[in-house]
Amino acid sequence: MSLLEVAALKKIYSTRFGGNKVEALRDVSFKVERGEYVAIMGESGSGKTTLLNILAALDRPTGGRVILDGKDMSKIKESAVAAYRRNNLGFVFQDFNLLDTFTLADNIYLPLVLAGRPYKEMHDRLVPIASTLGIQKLLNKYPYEVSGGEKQRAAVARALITDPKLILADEPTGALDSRSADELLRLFSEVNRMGQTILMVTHSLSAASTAKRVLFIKDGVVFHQLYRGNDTDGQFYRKISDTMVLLAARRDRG
Amino acid sequence: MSVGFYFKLAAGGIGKNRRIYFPYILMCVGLIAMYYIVSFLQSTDAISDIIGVRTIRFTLNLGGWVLAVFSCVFLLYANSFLMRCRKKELGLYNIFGMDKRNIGKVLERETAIVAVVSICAGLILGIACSKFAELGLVKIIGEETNYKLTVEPKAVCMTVAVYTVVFIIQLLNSQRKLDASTAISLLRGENAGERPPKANAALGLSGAALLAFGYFISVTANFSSARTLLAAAFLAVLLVIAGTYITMVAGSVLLCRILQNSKSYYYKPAHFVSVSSMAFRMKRNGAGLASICILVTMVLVMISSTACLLYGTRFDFYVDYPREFILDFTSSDPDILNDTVLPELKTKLLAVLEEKNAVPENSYEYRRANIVGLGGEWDMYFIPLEDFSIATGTQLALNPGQAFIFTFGNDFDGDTISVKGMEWKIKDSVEEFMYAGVEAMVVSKSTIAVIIPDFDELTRAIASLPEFGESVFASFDWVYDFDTGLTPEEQLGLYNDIRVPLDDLCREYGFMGVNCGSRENHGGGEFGMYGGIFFLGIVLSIVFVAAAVLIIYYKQLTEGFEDQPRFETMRKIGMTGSEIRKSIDSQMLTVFFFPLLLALAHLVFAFPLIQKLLLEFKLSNEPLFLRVIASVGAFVAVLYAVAYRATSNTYYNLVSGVREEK
Repeated sequence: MSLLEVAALKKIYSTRFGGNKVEALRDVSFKVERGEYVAIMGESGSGKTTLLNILAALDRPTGGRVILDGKDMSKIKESAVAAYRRNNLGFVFQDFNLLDTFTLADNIYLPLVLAGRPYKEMHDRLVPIASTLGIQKLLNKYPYEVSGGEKQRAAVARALITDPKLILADEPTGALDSRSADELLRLFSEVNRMGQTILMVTHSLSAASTAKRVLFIKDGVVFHQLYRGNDTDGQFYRKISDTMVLLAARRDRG
Repeated sequence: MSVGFYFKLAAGGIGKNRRIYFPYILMCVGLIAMYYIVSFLQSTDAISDIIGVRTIRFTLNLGGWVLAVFSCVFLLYANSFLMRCRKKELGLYNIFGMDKRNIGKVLERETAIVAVVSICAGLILGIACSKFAELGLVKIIGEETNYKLTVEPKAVCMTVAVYTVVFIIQLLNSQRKLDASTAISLLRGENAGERPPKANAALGLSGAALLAFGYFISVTANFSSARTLLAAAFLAVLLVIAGTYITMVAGSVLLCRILQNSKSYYYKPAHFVSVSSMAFRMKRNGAGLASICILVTMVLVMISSTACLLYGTRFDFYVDYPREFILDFTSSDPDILNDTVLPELKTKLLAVLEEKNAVPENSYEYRRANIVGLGGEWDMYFIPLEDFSIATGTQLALNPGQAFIFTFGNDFDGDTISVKGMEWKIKDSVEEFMYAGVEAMVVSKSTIAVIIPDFDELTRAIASLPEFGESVFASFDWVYDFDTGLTPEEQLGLYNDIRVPLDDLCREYGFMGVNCGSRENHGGGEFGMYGGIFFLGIVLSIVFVAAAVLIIYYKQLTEGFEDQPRFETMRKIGMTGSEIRKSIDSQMLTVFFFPLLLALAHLVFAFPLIQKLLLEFKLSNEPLFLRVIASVGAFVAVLYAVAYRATSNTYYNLVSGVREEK
């Protein structure tokens, strides 16, 4: 059984008076297996943020189903959604979303504190993660004292510490310089190699080229997908690039 | 660009920012109305007949200036908040090609609009409320007034002049701020770099030390004169204000740091978010919270001390003047208090009263011998038991050689009283006494009243002393106290009318003089003054409370804007709506009720000082003061809670607005 199963997902936004209807997602279906590292590519307005919001249980679909680990997410009660999200999903955002009132360590602890775990357990979990991500020495600093790349690594640690079934990353390299971005993507690959399933939304070619599979989304449907197979990052990059050109060409033809 | 263009921009700017401008204008209107009322009361004829009117006018005049200065300072604070919120907008104007002179013109128009609107509305509100204020003032003093609404042109002119100046100062301040900024700094004004607070132990502790020292002065110090008392009070106030500011800014961060270091406390869902954001918030809002605390303290101290003054005085009236009129015929002749003189005197007295249409009710009379210089350090009032029993309606019995005493609350603790060979064993002390006002004034800490069964023997004994008139002074009094059932004005009339006939009576029967006391007459003067002070206390308190509420409101607003992204993040990470709400509740409660608690602590520690100050007014009724202060404290606390509730909705709406968008 797949870890994540998205079937015929549909989302329609209507303007306030119900006049104009905007179809953000028309018919999106795909599956993510355990241990996979999937990138979803698409331009602005392609519906990828809407898709991510629905996967994150931040938004409800108009039609279709999202099944995570055998559980239909639309069946979860509103009151239980937050706890469900906390226990099963990890998030990495473009703008880090670290709280400026907390040190990095406390930011990372936040989901566990919300879950009511004892301090010792939190600390024991943090130590290996921090050393994987190379942020041991930064833990007592505040977000404003560290660089963007370091902030994003802390955010990854926060996503990992609950040992989630799935990590959802929304443009994780969007606010980083290229060196920090490469470093972060390397960490993603490493975390994935250790068995973590990752779903990343991006429009960066180099980010997508580190994934094992890339889904292209356009006008609310999954338009195409590419498997890495045995390609190197460079080869995969070229394939993705070619697909993008194709996509653009098709748009030119109308 | 036409003139109308700037005007439109200005009006639009106010309209778009009504969430921050509306309370600001409201506050301006309130301040102006208050100022008008205070200056109206200074010049209105309605109070010109009240005894003590000059004191009232002086107090109100002083209060008017306090109000004007406070308006200026407070509106500067509020205005700087407005400017901070609008920096982005002004920066945009700047980038779109308006230079600072143009923006300055927009600001000018804006200030003009706010000034005209609030002065007009303030005057209208002030005129509408002035009658109520006048009625209130007159009611506090206990006089009568009519119900005609009047406008005082002088007060209107004063108000317009004062607040025009205040608004010009506001405008100059905005212009100065504008000149000191660049387009980019304007654009970024709102999110200037945040620094997490560093706890400063030394500063935090010194704040606590200042507070403690201020409290110490208030509680322990003993003062010999009114001047040193005022100086000490002033010092204590300064210390407490400084201590409050430092404690709020540094001490609270320190406390949060200590909490954060306790792992088992800090890493709990209920404490985690609130403690850390409180540490953050305290540092930046410490000064604002301290201001709220000081304002609330001022309100508490002001209302409670003036209320103590007023009610203490009223209370003392009824102790000092058990009846509406108190007559005390005094003589140095020991033989005068005899069975032929007194009944005759009383008959004549009643005739005098009847002539003035007054019929005594609830009257009582007693004889009294005041002796100075025989009882060692004690001055003694001797009163015959039979008179005492009739006057108080009690049925106490004494054997010869026994006495009751009444100590006026002093520390007399002897077992016997002796006067030149006569001795009385003290049987008991009495609770009740005909405490006459005219005496109350001369009762010193070393006076005791002695009720004896053998009064005539005493007077004879004193009269035969060789040193009588040399080192022993005695007076022999006949006291007659009564109610009349007349209106206050008629009582005053009666008081003025009977003084000459009373003096005639005195001479006719060989008394040295007569002390005539009228509760109404005596009450009027002091009451007028204290009433005026109390009224001013209420007016200023309303203003201060409103100011505190506005500060709270602006705080909620800024924090709401700031916390929006923070709570959005927490929601994304998996905090439920109710968890967020709980965390908001707990930190809001702590942050906003901390100043109130501290203010109440200030009040508790100010109490001894207030008491000593009241003692300077010859007021010493601790239980009454405690009751008054407790009820004032409770009242302000309730008011504060209501204000908090009303304004916290703004915050909730801001923070949860994001949540519902999704």
